[in-house]
Amino acid sequence: MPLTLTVVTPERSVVEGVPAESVTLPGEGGELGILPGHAALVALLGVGIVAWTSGGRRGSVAVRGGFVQVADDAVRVLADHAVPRDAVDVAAARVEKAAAEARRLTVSGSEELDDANAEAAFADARLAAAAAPEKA
Amino acid sequence: MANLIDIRRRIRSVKSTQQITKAMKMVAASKLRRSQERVLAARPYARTLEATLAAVLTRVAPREDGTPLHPLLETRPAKRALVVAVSGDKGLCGALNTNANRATGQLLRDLTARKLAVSLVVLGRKGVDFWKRRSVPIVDARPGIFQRFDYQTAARIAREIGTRFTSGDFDEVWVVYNEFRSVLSQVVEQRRLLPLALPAAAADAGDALYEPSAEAILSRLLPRNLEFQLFRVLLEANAAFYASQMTAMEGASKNAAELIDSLTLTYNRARQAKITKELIEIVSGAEALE
Repeated sequence: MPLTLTVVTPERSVVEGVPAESVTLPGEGGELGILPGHAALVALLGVGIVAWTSGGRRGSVAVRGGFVQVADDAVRVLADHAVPRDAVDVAAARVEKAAAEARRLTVSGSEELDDANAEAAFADARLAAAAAPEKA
Repeated sequence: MANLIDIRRRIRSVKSTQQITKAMKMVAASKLRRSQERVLAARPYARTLEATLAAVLTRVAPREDGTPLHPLLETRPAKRALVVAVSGDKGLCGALNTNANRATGQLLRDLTARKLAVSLVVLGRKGVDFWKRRSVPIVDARPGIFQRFDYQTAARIAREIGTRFTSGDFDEVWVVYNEFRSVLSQVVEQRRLLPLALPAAAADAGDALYEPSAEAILSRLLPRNLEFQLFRVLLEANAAFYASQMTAMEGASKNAAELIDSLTLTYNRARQAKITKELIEIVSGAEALE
């Protein structure tokens, strides 16, 4: 039985119940790979790409922050921000990345630094998602 | 009989009013559709958030010293309360804003009766206009918030409120807003935001893995939950506003149509009476000549 992947943000559903053979997630402490039959799991998400394969095709969504819940082969991602591959604005992501990297050099507080880092990483993730191959 | 020209002028003026109310109804209808879509789009997240929270709660053991698991859950003897009053940005929407303001006033009185000092956070221009002339201290006022708001807007306000709560500025936080039940029914809702009420722990969450730990996840989930609740309040209030405005403008258009009908009737009657009078004058003039 394949996995069912759902990716939602407070504003909209990005991926709605797509069947998938495997899903990889950017966990906060490192990448998480989910295959069918995975034990129930709740994990914090970092910044990166949620990628899945289904029928020889790959899908990817850039996410920033949030949670993932895995139970009974249903993978539910609650992301703070999520941009699917088709919706990535490459030019805007490049601009944001440059801006965040520039900000990183000037900020003082550690919180601001984390924020700038996360923003740069999210821009990176969007670029990577846009560039990800569609074939598995 | 009223002057014919006067009546004609009135008909014309009512007609142009009707055109405006009709146009406003159409605009409200299209904005209502968009805001309804946003309400619906937030539902999957709500469901998943609730399920995750319920699952995590089964795994987090209560602390042995009885302190709450998270500052946002802390119940203190209540001395100061904060009320988040949500109203529309604009009028021409029936009794919606009045209802919200009245319910807020009632809640403030209830809280004062419990010997609590009250303050306000006011979201929406109509509420701001109403409350700034009164004696209740306003902590934060956001007129025009509904012009453009997204999750981040709600999250920032929620975080601010959360900080005020955890730092002990306020012991209870309430929210009053119009909930969108249907296009025809918007109901004023009030409920307590903080301390957070937890959903019942899921009965059979089984043995799930928690990465990094159930406590760490809970401490992230709870602030997110607060942010999301406020976001939903804004979405509901937004949809309720457009629904109410659409209904109000539809009523206004209908009233204008009725007024036009009755004015047209009066106009025609007056016109007929005038013709009859002229005929009588001609006939009696001719008879006088015979």
